[in-house]
Amino acid sequence: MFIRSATTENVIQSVSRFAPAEDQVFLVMLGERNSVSIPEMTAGLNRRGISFFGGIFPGVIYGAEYFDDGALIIEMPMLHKPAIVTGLASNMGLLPEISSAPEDVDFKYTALLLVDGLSEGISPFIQDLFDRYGNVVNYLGGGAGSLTLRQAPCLFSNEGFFQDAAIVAFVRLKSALGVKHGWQKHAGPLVATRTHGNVINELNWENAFEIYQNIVESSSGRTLTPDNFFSISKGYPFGIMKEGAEDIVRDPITVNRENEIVCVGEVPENAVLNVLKSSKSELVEAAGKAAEQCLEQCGTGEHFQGLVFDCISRVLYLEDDFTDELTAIKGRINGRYPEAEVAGVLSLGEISSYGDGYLELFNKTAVVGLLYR
Amino acid sequence: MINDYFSDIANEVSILYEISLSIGRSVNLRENCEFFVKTLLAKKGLTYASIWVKDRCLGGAPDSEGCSLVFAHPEFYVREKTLPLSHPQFTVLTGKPYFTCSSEDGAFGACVTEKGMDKGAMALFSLGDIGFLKLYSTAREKSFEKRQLNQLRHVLAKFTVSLEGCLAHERSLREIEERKEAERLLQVSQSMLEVRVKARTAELEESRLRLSSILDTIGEAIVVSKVSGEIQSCNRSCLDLYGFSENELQGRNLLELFPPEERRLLISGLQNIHEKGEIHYFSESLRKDGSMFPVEVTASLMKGAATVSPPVVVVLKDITESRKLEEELRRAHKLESLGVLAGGIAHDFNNLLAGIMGNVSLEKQLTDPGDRKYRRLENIEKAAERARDLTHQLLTFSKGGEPVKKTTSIEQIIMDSASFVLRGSNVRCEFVIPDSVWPVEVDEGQMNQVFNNLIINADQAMPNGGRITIRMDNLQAVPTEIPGMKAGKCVKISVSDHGVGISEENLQKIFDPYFTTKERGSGLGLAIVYSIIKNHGGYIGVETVIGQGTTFHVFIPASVRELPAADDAGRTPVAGSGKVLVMDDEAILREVACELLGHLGYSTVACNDGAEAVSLYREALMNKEPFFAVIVDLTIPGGMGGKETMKKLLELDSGVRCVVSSGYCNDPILAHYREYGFSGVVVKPYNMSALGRVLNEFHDKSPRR
Repeated sequence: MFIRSATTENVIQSVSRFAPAEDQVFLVMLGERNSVSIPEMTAGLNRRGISFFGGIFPGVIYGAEYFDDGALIIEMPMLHKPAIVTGLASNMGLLPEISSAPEDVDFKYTALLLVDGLSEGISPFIQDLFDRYGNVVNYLGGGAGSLTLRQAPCLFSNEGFFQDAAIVAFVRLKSALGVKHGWQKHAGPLVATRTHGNVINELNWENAFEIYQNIVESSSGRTLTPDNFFSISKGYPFGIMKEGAEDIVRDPITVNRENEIVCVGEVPENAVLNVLKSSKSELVEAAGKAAEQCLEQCGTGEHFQGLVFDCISRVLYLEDDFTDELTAIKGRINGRYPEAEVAGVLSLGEISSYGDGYLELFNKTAVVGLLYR
Repeated sequence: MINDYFSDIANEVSILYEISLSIGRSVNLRENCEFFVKTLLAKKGLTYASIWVKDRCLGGAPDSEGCSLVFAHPEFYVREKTLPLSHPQFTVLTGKPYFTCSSEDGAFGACVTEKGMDKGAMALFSLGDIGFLKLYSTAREKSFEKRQLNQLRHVLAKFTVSLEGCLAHERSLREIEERKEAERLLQVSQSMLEVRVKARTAELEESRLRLSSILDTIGEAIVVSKVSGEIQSCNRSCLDLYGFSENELQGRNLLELFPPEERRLLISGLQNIHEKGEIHYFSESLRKDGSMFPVEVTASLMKGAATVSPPVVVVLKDITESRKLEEELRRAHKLESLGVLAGGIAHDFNNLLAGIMGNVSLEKQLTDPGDRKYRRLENIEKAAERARDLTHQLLTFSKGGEPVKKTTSIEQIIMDSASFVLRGSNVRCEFVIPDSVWPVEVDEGQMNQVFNNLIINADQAMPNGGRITIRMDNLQAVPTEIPGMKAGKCVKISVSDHGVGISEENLQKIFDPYFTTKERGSGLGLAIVYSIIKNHGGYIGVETVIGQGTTFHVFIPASVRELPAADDAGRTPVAGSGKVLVMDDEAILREVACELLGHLGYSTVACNDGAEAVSLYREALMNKEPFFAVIVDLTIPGGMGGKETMKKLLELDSGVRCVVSSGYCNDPILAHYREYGFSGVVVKPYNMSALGRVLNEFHDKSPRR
């Protein structure tokens, strides 16, 4: 269910309108310009005994459109009550014990994973999660937060309103996943010879900004400075090379005082990087392919729900053409499942099992999921 | 195409480069594996990787045939953590650097030891002689390609070397840990030892202090010395006894505590102490101030001493007091023996004397005092009186002989004695008497004897004249200072002369009966004094300095009662009237008594035993002619004596006036006659005056009793 202009009341009313069901949980995703008081909403839903979890994102996707004040409400059957993990940045984000492990169930279900997209320590957290549960479930999720890039409480559940946290919800739904970004190698390889978390200190044993600047300036014909950094760098992300797959994109968003490049997401030291580049049409096409990839993996079932985590930086890059990307996704999914609702969020980082392999945090990527029973 | 090929190669090299750089990021085995495996999985898009190391490389036994999982990611898939080297997972690698298969191959099932791995491809790599690397890709349908495996083989060779480094590091850490643990255990053990030593030292110190405290409370002097006699330590009593300080005594020789003539015994004793084990003897010992005292010496080798030449523990017991007590006891025994003898004959002797004195007394009444016969009678009477006194003195020794006490002023007795004894002497007496001397409870006659004897001795000690000082003091008696006396108030009388003094040798014997240095002395004077004072619960001591004089100190318990009114009774026979019943088994005495009473104005009835006396008394009562008084002999052989008679008479007449008479002047009944119902006492031999006085009291104190 989509609400165009979300308020506390209409969210509570909408949720309340669903027929109660056993092990029911609601995923509530809000555009950041909503008019919802999270504490009041939480109190209202708690009073009604409704289980819920969700986050505030730069925007919500509904069909082929996106809104920064809307609300998306999806009812799901839960395997376990959503688990809150706090203190990601301090690496103290310990996973709570879950009474019965998901591997005990009959099918490969889905773990929905929402994180504070502006937290440090997201990568170690999802690695720990993967270490504990492996590929017994499909993982799908993304980073919540504000486009202002100022960290604030952005995740909520029956237990409260959280910052620097993650929510893991194991739901009794099957899923098919497609991950594509469409960014192509422009220059490389570059070795991130010294990094610290999401900061690249050195590239090829030299100052990271200087190396990156040379590449970007020669391609764009524009002078790259710390001041205009993001307006240009949004078209030249880094790609962490991976065998037999698309590079994992890391979005360079700013330059610090030491002329070091700050990215969204961790860049491992000694990672071999490419500088990527793409055209708008390639990105739109990639999003469509992500949807196709998702459909390829989809088995038989019913009550299909499209759930998209599309990076906000793609909106910033594609601008008005971004709706083409959403149209491409919606078109592919509704082409096979006309009844399926296609919805999602504009996220700060995307999370998905990458095919059958390693769990990754992506940037500038379109992650398309189909949830079904 | 060529460009694509080289581009692919460049990508592969880049990935291998990144994987290679993840090797050896830490010397910690797990961290090294974690960096490597996670990078490998991420770069290669693999599902799972695990590293197994042979147990013998992990500190297990050299012949160990097991292999352990040291790292796996994701850990979720792990099922087995240890496997034998004979497991197919490892044996498939025999003679090969790597092995691969897919779920379509038969070997797949045998090699899979993880949970949930039912499809995909598996690869196993040998990590030299250390262990194995296991990889899964669930995305693959076919086995890994040889080219991919060969790429990894070289990276893994490098990883193997890094593992060797990690294992060597772990061995070093283990060894360091073991060494640290050993050191810690050593420290713990040392600390425990120190605690035990500290506790033991404290115990020993406490024990030493306790022992020292015990030793200090022991009255005997205890000295620890070398066999050579060199003093090492001593207790408090030793310092008090000898008057040395601890520093003065330490290092001195034990022999210095003895006069030269007494050292021989100690020297030979110490020389032979190893053979004898203990020496024990009596000797004289020498204080720091040069004074001597008798000492009991006991010395033995210190038991349990750890040295070859153990020290000697010498116990020196001052036996001055015990010697005195022994002397007292000896003297008491002597007097007691004499007393037994005296007591046996005194009664008969007194009866004889009573007859003599009574008759002399009567004869004197019938004779003109100007007649020569009268003087002879007086001489007879005096001789009889001396005989009586001698008898009394002898009886004083008798055991159980109690003084007939009354509360009196000792001051008057002593002054009378001095006046009487020193009449006509060239020695004068000086009294030092406080304002109020406490009254005493004494037998006046016996006390007269005491001070007569002491003043006579003092007088005789100064044949050329001089001065006797008699000093009296009230004081509190302390038993430890005055032997034989109870604690409490007492009067101390000191009789001092400036005569020749008493030699050391004689001093020990002066209180012995029949010991005398006088040509015509009986040797009983001081013995009697001693006995009387002792019977009064007192004490007599003597101090003497040859050529300077002698002082006798007499201690007599003070009375708790006040002095009675002055006794005006004269010595002149006192006449009276009334009928007196006289009971005595001796006919002569009955006769004499009746005659004496007749002269005093009394009528008499006589009988020879108690039964007759009771009968006569009853008869007189019935006839309403009662007796004024009854005089009964205390002891009637074969008949009713005075005591029983008194009981019967009291049954007849509770107001009966009965006087007890006996030659046993030391009989307790005479001392406590009132307790037995008697109204008076008259000691045999008596004269007319004594009889008159006792009966006269009844006239003064009517009604009867």
